[in-house]
Amino acid sequence: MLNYRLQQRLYRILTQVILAVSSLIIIFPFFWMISTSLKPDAEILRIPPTLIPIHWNKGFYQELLNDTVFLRYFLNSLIVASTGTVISTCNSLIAGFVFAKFRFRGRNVLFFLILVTIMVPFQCYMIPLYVLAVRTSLVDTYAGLIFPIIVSSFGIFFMRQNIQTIPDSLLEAAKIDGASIWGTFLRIVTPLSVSAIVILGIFQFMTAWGDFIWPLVITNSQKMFVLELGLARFIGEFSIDYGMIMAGATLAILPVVVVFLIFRRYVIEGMTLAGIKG
Amino acid sequence: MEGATPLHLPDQGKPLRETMQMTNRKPISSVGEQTRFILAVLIPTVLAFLIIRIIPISQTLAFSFFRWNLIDGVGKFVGIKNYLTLFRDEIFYNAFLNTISFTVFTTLVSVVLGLGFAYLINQKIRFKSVYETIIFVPVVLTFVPVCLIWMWMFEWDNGFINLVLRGIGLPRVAWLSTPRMSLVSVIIVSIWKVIGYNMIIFSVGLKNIPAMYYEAAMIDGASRWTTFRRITLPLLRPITLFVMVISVINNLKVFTQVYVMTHGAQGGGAQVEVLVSDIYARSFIYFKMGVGAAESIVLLLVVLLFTLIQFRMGKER
Repeated sequence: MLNYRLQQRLYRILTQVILAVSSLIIIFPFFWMISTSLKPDAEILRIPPTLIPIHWNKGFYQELLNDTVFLRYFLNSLIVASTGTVISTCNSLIAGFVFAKFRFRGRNVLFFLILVTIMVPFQCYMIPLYVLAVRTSLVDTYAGLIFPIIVSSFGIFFMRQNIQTIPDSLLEAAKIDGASIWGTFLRIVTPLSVSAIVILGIFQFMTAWGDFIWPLVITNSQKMFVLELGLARFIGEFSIDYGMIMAGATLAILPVVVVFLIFRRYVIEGMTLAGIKG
Repeated sequence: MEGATPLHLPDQGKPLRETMQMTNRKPISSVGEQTRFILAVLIPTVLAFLIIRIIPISQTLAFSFFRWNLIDGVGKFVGIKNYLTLFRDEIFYNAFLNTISFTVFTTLVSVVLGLGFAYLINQKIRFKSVYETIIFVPVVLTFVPVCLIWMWMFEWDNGFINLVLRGIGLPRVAWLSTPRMSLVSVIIVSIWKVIGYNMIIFSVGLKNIPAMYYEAAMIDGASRWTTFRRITLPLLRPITLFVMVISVINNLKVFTQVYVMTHGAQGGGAQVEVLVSDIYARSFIYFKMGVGAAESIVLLLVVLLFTLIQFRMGKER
């Protein structure tokens, strides 16, 4: 019996050790990034390296934050991701409501048509989209960056699934009380879908924020670059100036990590949605 | 706007129906209102789907059989010539093979590690949520800053990994200097970024295993390893397949990490081609959009194959 308990304790300690060491390894690159970004050039290249900077250097951050181009990248990402998220989430909510709660001819065909596009990766139809953008002179504009993400088949599917769980009797009751369809949508369906909206919104925002290939294709002037694109150009611009590159990476990562830590549950749920999405 | 006019016509019938409702009939939803609502929502939605999804997808398929470039637009019908160009091109084979090896290695390692962490984290231990949060952080980040961090970690002279290797007396590794090692580096980064995601999906699966199975195994005196192999693994089979298929589909579309880490200014000899980077180069650098479209269709077929597998699994469950 004592043997068994000892075994249990050893096992628990082993689990702790494995998890602690792995977590340290996983988080180390972040630590190293921040540490590098705060060192002066000479210390960055020192061998053996210092884990925590001996001489603190805020210079890289000051330079980046005074650089209007870098702030412009940030702003561009914010504009593109939030506009896209708001439009596609609103559309998903209302279209999801229509597909969940109304019967009309052609409903299933339409829903199938929308759903079937989930399976096609974006990379497989970006060429015609680009040609379309060229013809409508959307290249290098916000509209060009945003238009591919204003609807989401996954979003409509997800919202339909959620709204289907709202009992019909609730909608009937609203109708009897004299609410219009818009009224029912705004006062009953929307408040009952808040957590689904938040989850979908986070998912859409993160997808849009991290998108790389479309901004790469559609923009060519630096002032239209989103953050991802601008950062990717850092390697060419600053070549081996890793202090500057790490400061840029830190500034790009920090807001995301903060938002993640605040809305941990929602974010995890929103991100794992991609799994259902496939 | 012209198209919208007829939609308002049913409006005129409204007063009549309201009168009917007042005469103590069962409340009927105003058919006019309902039709208008549905049309107001669906017309823009369907139009958007046509313009930015369905038509472009069809165009990719159709124009993969045409001569097509940006300047001259869609030209002559060339049959399967674009596909033949592709299949005779060594770069395509290289890209295809790289995509496959990337997908196989990234999927296998990240699934095994994800399962391992999920298993450890679902024990009754302290600091559970701290570990969970840390392991999940890379998932929420975007790929470009992540690639930048790792390029610094992988750097030849001052990269942390080579400093450690040198410190313990091992030879340095030229992580980003040859195509092969570049691919390995990209795989390492991709695994690091996705472990937390797989861990969370496996955690859901583990929580769904009824405790009584474990209690029964304990009473029978089964060791931890036996319990894991004989109970946990078989019960996780469906979710394991699910995670694998999802990873395969996502990994087949790999681009950002490859582009940022190996195509940059310092790329040169270490450049790695994968399917999407090849599509990108053919279509947007050389403007051979017909061949690019053909390659997109190849990618689509491979992805659809795995999507079908996923659907069939879904039905079995």
